[in-house]
Amino acid sequence: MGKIELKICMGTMCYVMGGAELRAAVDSLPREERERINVSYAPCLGNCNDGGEPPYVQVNGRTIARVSSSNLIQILKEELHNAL
Amino acid sequence: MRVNGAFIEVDCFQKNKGDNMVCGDTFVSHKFKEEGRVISVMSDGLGSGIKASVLSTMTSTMLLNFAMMNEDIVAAASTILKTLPRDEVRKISYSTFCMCDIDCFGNTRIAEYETPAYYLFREGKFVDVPKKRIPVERDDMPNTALWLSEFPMEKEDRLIFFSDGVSQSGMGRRNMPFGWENGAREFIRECVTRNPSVSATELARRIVTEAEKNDGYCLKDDTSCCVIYMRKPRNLLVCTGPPFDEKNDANLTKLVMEFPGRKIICGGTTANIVSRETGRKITLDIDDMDISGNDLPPSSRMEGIDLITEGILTLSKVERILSEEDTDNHNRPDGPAEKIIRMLYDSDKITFLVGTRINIAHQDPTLPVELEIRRNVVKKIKYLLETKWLKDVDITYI
Repeated sequence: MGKIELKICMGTMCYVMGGAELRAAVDSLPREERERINVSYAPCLGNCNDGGEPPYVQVNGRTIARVSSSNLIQILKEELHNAL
Repeated sequence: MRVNGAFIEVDCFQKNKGDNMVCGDTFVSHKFKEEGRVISVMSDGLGSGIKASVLSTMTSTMLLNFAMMNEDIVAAASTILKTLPRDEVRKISYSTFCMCDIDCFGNTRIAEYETPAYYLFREGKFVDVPKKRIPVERDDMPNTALWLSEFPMEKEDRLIFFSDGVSQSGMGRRNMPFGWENGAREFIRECVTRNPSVSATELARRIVTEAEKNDGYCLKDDTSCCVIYMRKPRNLLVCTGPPFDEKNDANLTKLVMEFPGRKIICGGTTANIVSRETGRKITLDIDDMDISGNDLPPSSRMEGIDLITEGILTLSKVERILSEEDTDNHNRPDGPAEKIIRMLYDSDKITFLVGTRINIAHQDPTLPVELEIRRNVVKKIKYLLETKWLKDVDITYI
């Protein structure tokens, strides 16, 4: 089973717009799913300098804008399913 | 504040008698940046509690105000002495004081009235400075006099003055029947020998804590200790914000990496610039998010940089803590803003390197928090560090 690489942006805008809660969302996944996700954090992914739609995450290198706890879980579940 | 390149570090540590809510001793200090002059006054009000606090506050602030108006310290101290009210029962004045004035060349004048004698610690030894008695006429209190000392402070000198809460701590105990006066000298000598660069803040804290120990952890009087340390300045650079012109990214990195002292970077974009230019990796301390009461993005680490934090939210919190705190609080949590505060307190000369590029994303009025303009926050921090903490602060814009 493949692993998912998740990078959460901890820049000012992403943090203020809900990025702070994303870690808890990932931790709420069932253990067998959570163990298949490598979570890392970036001081800033540099996406919102020209406006942008924070908060941002990167899932397997793909940048996703305007992430909420619920749609992050959905995205991760899809990626986990695809990686089986 | 420079004397042959030295910095004058001034700090005071106080603890209250027993469970009292206020301290009957008052310490005030002012730095004249343009003149390179520092005036510090400590006053001990008669008794303890609110009354003592009011008396010592009035005495110390009036002395400082006189001195700030360029009044000679002897004239200022004499005027105060002539007007100090007298306790009708004990037949002594309502407060005592020690006032110290150091100019930009290190020339020091100290006026003392009834406080324990100050110590001058130089090259591992206590120096006895000759003192001149200056009588002050008072009909109701004969033999009233000030003691004046004049000498040049040298690099690495420490001046230590304290209230009688320190010198009389432990009084009546078998090993110090007359209090801690001689023991304090030994204690200071030992502290400095063990750690020759011990800061004024730390030494003052240790002396008061030891006095508290002498009194069985329940102080019998308000206890204050002030230390003035003429030291080699401890430099700190706080770099925040990307440069206005991207061509200056390399220049900013060079300024940061070559800075002679400790370095903090506040801001993800700024940290990314330095990381890109140096090829060094940034690692986030995600444990910061588990600290209770921490409402900021976590700090990070990079080789060659002492601390990396988020930018404007963290600096705004630093500004808030600096404006609310009057003394160094050792019990605060260990979040990113608190780490910066600790490093600011432990530095003498602080340089802010401020990038002037405006982050357009921060200007959105629909944002849930107020994101201030970086330059304004840095200016407020500079003002607080200079006025409340007597630091040398410079801002460079890039």
